[in-house]
Amino acid sequence: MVESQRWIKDLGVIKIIYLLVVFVIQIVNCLPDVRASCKTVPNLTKSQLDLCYKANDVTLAAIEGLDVNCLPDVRASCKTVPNLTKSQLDLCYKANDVTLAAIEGLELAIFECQHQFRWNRWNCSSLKSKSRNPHSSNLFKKGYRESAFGHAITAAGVVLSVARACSQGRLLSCGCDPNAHRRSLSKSLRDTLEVEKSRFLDTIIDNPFIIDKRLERNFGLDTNEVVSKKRIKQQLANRWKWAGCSHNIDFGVEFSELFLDSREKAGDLQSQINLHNNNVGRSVVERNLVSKCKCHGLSGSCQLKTCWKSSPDFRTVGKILKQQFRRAVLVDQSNFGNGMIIYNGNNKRRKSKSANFRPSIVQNEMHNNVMLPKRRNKRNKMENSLFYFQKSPNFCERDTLSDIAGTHGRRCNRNSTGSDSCSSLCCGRGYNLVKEVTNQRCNCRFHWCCYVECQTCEVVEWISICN
Amino acid sequence: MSGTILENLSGRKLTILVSTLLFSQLICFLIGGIFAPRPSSVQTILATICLDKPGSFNDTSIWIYPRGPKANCDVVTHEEMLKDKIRMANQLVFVFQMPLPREGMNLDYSRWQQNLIGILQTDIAYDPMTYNKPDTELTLDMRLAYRNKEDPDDGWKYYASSMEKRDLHCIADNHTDKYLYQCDTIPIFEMGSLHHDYYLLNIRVPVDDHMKMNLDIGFITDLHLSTIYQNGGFTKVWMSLKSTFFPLIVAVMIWFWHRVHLLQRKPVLLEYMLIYLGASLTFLNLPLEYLTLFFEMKFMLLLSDIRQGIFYAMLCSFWLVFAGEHMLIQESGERNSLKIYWRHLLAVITGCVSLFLFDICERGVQLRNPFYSIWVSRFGSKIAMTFIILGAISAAIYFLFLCYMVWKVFCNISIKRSVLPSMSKMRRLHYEGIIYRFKFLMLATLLCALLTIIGFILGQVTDSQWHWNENFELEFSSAFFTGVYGMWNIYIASMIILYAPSHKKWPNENDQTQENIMGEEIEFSNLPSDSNPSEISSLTQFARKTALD
Repeated sequence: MVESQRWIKDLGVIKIIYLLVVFVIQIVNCLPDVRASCKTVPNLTKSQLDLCYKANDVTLAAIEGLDVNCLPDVRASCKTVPNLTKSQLDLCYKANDVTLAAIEGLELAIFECQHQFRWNRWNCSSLKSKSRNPHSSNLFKKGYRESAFGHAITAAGVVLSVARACSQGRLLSCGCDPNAHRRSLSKSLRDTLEVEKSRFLDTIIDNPFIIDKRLERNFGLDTNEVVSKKRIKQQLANRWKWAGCSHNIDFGVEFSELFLDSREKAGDLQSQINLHNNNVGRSVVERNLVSKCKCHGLSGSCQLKTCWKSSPDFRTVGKILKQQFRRAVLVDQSNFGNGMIIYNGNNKRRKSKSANFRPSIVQNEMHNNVMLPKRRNKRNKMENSLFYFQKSPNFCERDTLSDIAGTHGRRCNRNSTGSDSCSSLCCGRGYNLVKEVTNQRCNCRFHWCCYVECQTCEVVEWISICN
Repeated sequence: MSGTILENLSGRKLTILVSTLLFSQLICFLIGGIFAPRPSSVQTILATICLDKPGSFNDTSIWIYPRGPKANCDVVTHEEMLKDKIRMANQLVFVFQMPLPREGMNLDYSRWQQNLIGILQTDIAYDPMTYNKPDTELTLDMRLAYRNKEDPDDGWKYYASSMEKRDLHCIADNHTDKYLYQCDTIPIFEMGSLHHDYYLLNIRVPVDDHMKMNLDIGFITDLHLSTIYQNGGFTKVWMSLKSTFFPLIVAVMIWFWHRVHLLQRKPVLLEYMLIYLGASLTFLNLPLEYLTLFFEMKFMLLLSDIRQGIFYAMLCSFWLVFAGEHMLIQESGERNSLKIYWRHLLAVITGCVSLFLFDICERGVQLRNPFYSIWVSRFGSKIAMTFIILGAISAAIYFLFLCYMVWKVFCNISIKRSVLPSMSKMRRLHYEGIIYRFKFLMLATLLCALLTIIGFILGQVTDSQWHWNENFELEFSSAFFTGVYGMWNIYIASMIILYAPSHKKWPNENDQTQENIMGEEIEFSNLPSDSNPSEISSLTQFARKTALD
């Protein structure tokens, strides 16, 4: 018992060191801030500075032409995230703030995944351990149920995190299209993504304040183009004044598609299934928007009623995805051909296309080919379930090749019989009882304004830990 | 003879007129549906959680804001809050800077956006330290500031502040797990004018044992503020409609009054009512909103309520009098005054006054404190309910009165109709025409009311946007507003026109061709009140004739 206590203590020390290291890394990461990189350039006018904040990468490239070099900073903030593909990096350089919000979303997704799987043998640690990017994990290259869940929850996390950053006002480049019908229907995913991306970057990079001729030259823009872009910006401002803006979730979904789906260009079964699972994650967010209404007509009556959608809590999304995880569908490799996934026993085919899950499009399809309600239900069900094509291992033992941590040292529940029970979680290896003592503040008395008096209490807890 | 234009209009002309009116009605509907955006939009803002500055407790010149070159917000993350056992109570400020930037631009509010309503949604997580009661009271210290484009970046100016209590109703599916409680939204503020470019809201959640403030509320992880503002595009379309109808109705009224004054008698009650109705509609049409582009007019919400209230009251009274004047029962000569309708009009007046008092209590107080709401205090909500119930009761009584009167008119008409065959041919045709057109107008009124009600119900039930196909979509809620607005304008304009005295035949009233009709009218031209029978609406004559019968 004494030994195990010391072991726990050692673990605490290691944890502190780890946290310190992470902290230092984060400081190093955060310092090369966009603003800092712009401020390093002396004698920029206000409009130029503004431009530098908004189109950091391009401005810096322009400044590079002026023999001042602060380019590595924004690049560095992208480079610290490992295993980004070329197109993702490209996106990161050009839409730095949004991409960083998306990467925050990946971290959020891992956190949520760990919460949902805290009583399972696989507890998402394989996504956490390596880096900030779960896509660098080997598990994501597999076709397990767990990888399907990982793809779905990261896609959902990116949507929610980007939407969240938008509604907090942290991103300047959030979309504002009240009639968001930008779902292009072009055949190839690659084309779609390229078109979307160029349009997306267009709206972000152009800036109405380009006055300096030298900068213009460096941008390679002629005056006409600048004037027309100015006009476009003016139109945008008028649009907000005319009809307001679209929901942040729309922008989140769009960016999630841009950022994550660009990874899956291979067109093989693996990437088809990953794309599908990404879409499932996003559609869970979209389908769980909560509608709220407010009456504000004559004397506050419902003569005039305004309704809006608020984004779901990430925990709710995680819970629904966990249910989907339990009902995930095994897709047979032999059923795969010509870039389509063919369901078992059915001759219905579903094209894996980024646009396939928009409710409007689903409706259109239904109008086009009349189906029996029962079959349609089944089809809908298929569209919303996670796909996997490999049987999962038991996750009991450590396997560094596929990033499986094993269940050694995991906390388990002695009084349970489910998946969190010690017999199941420890894979029959047995467990140790450990006494955990923590000091907590308690019996607090609050005073407004502005202090709190608390006592310190000792909390003793016995926990069981797998061998 | 003479009468109203309605009676003297040929069937063909009437058809043309009605179809023109219906066509302009359709145009009003389509203008709203196609050109205008939805009446109002929502922007949901997530609070940036900042560390409070010392001294902000009683100093309202301290403003914390997260965006801009001189931003002074020390951002607190959820992890930091979770590490602290007491969730950093009394140390945090929830900051909302409005509006949010979009598409690479720092947006600002336009004065065309008219008003701003704030609704708060709380994300409350389970906290082992504090038990979260399902129904509790939330105390918020709220401060609102504004800034304009030309001001310095930190030049926030005090707008309003208040310590407000709000009822918080939450449900939780799963207490022990780290799920958020599902809480009702809380109305926070209502501003009748959106005069400045930027607004800033600082919310503090004071926790105090002595004053029993916010003790049984879990861990507030996030606050979302949904800001509802009128769309600038809708305001523009609405204003152009108003600016079109205003001169039109004024012109129609002047024409009508001129017509009435050409006669040698005094105007009758119905004509007075028509001109009152026109006046109240003109007051509603008056495009006062243009002034909000230059001046800060916080009372616009209240004023628009009052204007609508006056118009509806006038419309209701008009219907009563209209039905009453065609009652075909004659008591005495004092027909020509509002006095005999006092019992009927009492219902309208009671209803309007009670709703007006309620409005003064809610929106009137909001002029001074935009955070105020009558519904939050128990006493206030009782008073509000009293006013509203009083209003509803008077509306019901009014409706019963109206139905009764209309039913009576129809009864009398059918009685009259049974004696029609015994009349001379010319006279019969004349009366039949009047009855037909009276019914026609009743039908028009019913149709208008019905269309309004159907549109209202559809607007409540369906989605606001109607899609016909990919390219064409109709913004139904805007179409409903412009459609109904245009409809009542057209309705009243046509009433004024059709009920104006006709001059078609009165210059040659002594013609031989009219002799036989005149002969019959002589019977009741001897009544003391009728000094000049030929100039009174023959519908009223008809009514009086029945009384004599």
